[in-house]
Amino acid sequence: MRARHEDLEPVWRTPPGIAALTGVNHTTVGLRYVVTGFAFFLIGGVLAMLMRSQLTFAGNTLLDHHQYNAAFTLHGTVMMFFFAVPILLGFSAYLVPKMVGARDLIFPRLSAFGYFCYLFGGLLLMSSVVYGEPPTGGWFMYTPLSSRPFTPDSGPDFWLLGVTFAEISAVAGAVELIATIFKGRVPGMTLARMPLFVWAILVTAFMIVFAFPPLILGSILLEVERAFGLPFYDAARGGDPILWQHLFWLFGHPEVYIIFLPAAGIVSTIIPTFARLPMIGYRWVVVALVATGFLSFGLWVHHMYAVDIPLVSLSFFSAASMAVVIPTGIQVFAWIATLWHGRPEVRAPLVFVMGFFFVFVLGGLTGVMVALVPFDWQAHDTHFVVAHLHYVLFGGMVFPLLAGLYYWLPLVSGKRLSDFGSRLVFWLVFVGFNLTFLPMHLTGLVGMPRRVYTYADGMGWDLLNFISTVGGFLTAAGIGAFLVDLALQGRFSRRARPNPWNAGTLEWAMPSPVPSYNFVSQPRVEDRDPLWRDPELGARQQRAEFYLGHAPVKRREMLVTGALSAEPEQVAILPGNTWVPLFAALFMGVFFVGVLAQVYAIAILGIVLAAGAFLAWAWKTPEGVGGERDMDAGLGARLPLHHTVARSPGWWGTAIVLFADAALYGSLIYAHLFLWTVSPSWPPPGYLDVGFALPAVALAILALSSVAVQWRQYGLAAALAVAAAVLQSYALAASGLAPGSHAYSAVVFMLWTVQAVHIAIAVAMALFTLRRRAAGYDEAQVPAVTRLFWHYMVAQWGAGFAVVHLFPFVAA
Amino acid sequence: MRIVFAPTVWFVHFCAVYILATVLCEQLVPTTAAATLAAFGAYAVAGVRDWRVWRGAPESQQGFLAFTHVVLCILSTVGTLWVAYPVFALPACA
Amino acid sequence: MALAGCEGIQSALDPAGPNADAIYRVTVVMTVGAVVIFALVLLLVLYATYRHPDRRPAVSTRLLIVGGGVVFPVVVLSALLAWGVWLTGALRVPPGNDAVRIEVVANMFWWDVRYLDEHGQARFATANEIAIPVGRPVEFTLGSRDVIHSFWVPNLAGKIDMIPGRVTRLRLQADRPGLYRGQCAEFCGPQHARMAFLVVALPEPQYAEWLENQREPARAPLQHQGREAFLAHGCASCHTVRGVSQAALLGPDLTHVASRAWIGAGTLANTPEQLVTWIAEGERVKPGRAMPSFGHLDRETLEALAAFLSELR
Repeated sequence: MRARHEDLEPVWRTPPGIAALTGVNHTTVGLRYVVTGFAFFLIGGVLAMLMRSQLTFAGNTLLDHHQYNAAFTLHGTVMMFFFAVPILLGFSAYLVPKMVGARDLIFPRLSAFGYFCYLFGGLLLMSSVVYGEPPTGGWFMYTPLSSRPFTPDSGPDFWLLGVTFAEISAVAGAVELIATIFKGRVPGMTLARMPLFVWAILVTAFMIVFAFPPLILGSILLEVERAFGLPFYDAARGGDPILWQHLFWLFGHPEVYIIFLPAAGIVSTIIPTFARLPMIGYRWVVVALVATGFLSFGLWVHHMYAVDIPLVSLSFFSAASMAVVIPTGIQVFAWIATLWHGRPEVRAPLVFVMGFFFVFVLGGLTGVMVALVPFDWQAHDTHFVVAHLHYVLFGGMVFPLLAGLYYWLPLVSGKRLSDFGSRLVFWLVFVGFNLTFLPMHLTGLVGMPRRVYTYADGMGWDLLNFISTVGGFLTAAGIGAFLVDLALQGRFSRRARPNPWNAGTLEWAMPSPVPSYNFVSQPRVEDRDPLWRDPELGARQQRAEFYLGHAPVKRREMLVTGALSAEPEQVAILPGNTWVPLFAALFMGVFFVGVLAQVYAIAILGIVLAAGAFLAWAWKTPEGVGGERDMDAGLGARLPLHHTVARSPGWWGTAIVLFADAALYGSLIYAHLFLWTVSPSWPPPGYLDVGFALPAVALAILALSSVAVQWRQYGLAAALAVAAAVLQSYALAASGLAPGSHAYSAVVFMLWTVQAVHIAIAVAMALFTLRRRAAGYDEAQVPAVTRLFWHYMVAQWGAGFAVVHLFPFVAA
Repeated sequence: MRIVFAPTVWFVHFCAVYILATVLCEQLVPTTAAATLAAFGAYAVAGVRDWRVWRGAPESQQGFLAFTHVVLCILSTVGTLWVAYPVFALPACA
Repeated sequence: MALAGCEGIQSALDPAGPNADAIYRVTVVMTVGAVVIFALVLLLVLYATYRHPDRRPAVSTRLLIVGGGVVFPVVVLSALLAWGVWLTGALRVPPGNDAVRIEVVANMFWWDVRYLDEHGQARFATANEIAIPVGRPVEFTLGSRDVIHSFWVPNLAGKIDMIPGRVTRLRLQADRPGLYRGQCAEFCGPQHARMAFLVVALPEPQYAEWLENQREPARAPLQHQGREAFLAHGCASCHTVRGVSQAALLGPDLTHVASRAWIGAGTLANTPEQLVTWIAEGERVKPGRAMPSFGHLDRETLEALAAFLSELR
């Protein structure tokens, strides 16, 4: 029997009312991200208007220094961490499954959990305003200004904890998207046929996996320094404030491209649709995306040209900053080529893309200017850079975002768009934006620094600032008009037909508004623009002509395909709606609040409760005990269920998490080596004796546990790991390591503490695996994941051991 | 995932010269020259190989990935050259 | 605020020395280049979008993508990179022996300035105002006593950070006499906005005179009542006035405070009235400064203090 809408909807939909909080469906979660992200955009916008108002006149007293410093700190933080990244994650969560023909993201509970982490992190940060202790140290939180001696209030703690909480969602989202893109594409969608938006998200997600851990690590170190006095950034005790800048910008520069690449993906989607032509230079754009992803990790010091760094080193970053122009140039010219060869129809989304070209190209060119070291010595930390970064981010992200919102709105609302309102919005925002920021280049060059709440009159800054403020309010009016337009269109527009823009990608192969399950049957594709090749594809998938179109529908099923081949491999049984993600995130919130309030009993309680929630999460899988091991997926394919396969989506997800984990530990090792290079004596005299023999024995025992796990001796492995941990802890304690006395002992302490946490998790996983086996589960997935994590954990300490014990031993 | 080879080599080269400039600045010129030549060799070998793969089957997924990697090899060569250039243009240890 | 109507006193577009001048030239060239490239790209976009498709000439994609996206940027940026790297080296050449050596230590939110002899020993201290001779290179040795600040005089040179636990250096030179305003460029806390200083470029003879004067302790006779108040109300526990009180490090050296144009690191003009305001209500004028307000002192004492300070030329 073939499935119909009535069969699928009850199984997939998010329930109404309070139970909507249990929803895990990617359409639901994606929209939540977008709406929440837009709300934060409005908050950040209000803060921007406050700042612009204060700077309208020299010596204005609308805001005092504290309010102004809080405003620019929160503006930057909110826009970067709570608007730009999450709203693009929301776009991706909403669109990627639809574009690759999947029914959902492959880890639905993780999407819901990520969203709640983001929301609670944002609430935690904004609650600082309610408590009257907002962070005031800038979105970059430079030490030592943000260290306890110079900022004794809780502002930095709100920042560190709120942002870290929200970053969990970014990493979770990235893992989810990578796994879905690798394993969830419909049959036939090889990498060479993947929509460019999906390519952009794939690269972006990998960048998140490697770029966010340095900041998470930096934040942990700073919070530990603030709370417990471990001196990572304290120059007086062997630390270095510049370490924070390295860790921050190791994240911060890729961040710019993490924001830009999805937006570029939106542009690469919209231009072919309205040019009525498949994207020209598809392969070149893929090259550009991959190249940008890598190059963006070689740019971080170009925020630190004014820090005393050897000139040769500065020039490396200058060179890399120039190199990153090339892939961007390739994309711009591929877009031009597509427009040139097509027959462009200038509808609302394309108008915003025109605005994107204007603003972003200008921002890119000033980017080349600040990449030049000597010029940056003048422009750095002035309003020139404020202008540049807004051209890049507003041009490179907000214009494509508005284009995308107008473009995909019919998918969400099922309504047709009128062009009039959106054109008014465009002109308001476009003129307002340029009026604000074009003069600001000059404001900077004639000497006005950033982040000043007041300035002297007669410096030649008065008129320029006045114009910028007028422009700012015009932009705000444009955003207001956008909201009005949205409301009016939602209320009065007529229903849209499916695929109103005649686009070629799969998300338009479904009726609008989109159903919760996306596809009645998951199609096979033969082309980059499957709807252009077969305009009937949408109707055919709704007639259940393809995979998994059977009825009755009892559970959420989704096709899993080969990462490269895109041929059917497994069927994933996805979990349904559940409270677990919400409670897991709430318990994490208890932990963060406990740390913030410095009531560590509450923090520990939060961790214990969260661990319990995660165990329930892992235990409560939908496939059940025993039961079937394979099923008929339609079109003659008989496929195994995912839990019977070792290389299940869960295994892939774990592998990706471990990349992020390795980036985190690698950042800690980087911190160790960095402090070593700046320190006159490292380890400092008297700290040489962390020992070698006992830790070497502990490492050997740990390595043995890996063998035991490989032989499926989980109990023995757990015992060995615990023994190794006890031995190593004893060895460090016996050497008299005092973490608070010097940065060296602080870093060694952290290297081992992080490892100890890993050992604890690995042991928990081993016991979990044993318990599952005892309960009669017949599965390949869980043991495979446990083994993967276990081997990683041992290898990680191999690296940690080398840094802590082997180097000093060899050096001595 | 062969297509990440060339950019990975670029990144490794980048990190190598960055670290060398910090810990071994007196020996920076010869070590950078060696690292740069090694990177160029890697691009050439991988690029030529993938060029052949691409010519063999331009329309397949393999051909697509091979072409992509050939272009990445070329871009990485430019990137590596640019990154190495300051070592030869600036005084050592300044 | 002080020095109203001094447009261009803190501008990278009005260079007064070789360092800033070289950067100015690179700025002009890059700006012109950026405008030209911007116009070209935008014209291409608009042409491709709005020109009727049938009237557009065919153009090869390879020319657009490889030519416009790869070859063109590689050529232009190779040249720019070569220039930039050369200039980076040229601006940081170590100074010769004739250089004036000055140490500046940043504090939240003022500048502690010491003139060094050839052995790197401090000859005398001053604050927030730096005199330099025209036509001679000056090497600044920069540090910080608390958080990260940045030393920036745009008319004379680019900026460099001042970092606790490290020493950074900056070399600059003024080619014409004048007043050049500098300002902290790295966000450093509540009063980051009010952390300015003045560089006074003097012709060599006047510079020598200035040096001579600064080196001397404060001259007697001095306003007696103000001097007594200075000692009695604890001013001397933070501020040094050589010849009057013991060396103290917490606040700016006031030995020749009357010779400076501003007080409060560019916050107020240096007049007796403003000095009274600064002493009595400084926390209102510059909230977050380290010095408490002395509003409890009576008017007469305040005026005497201001008169005393105004004598310290």
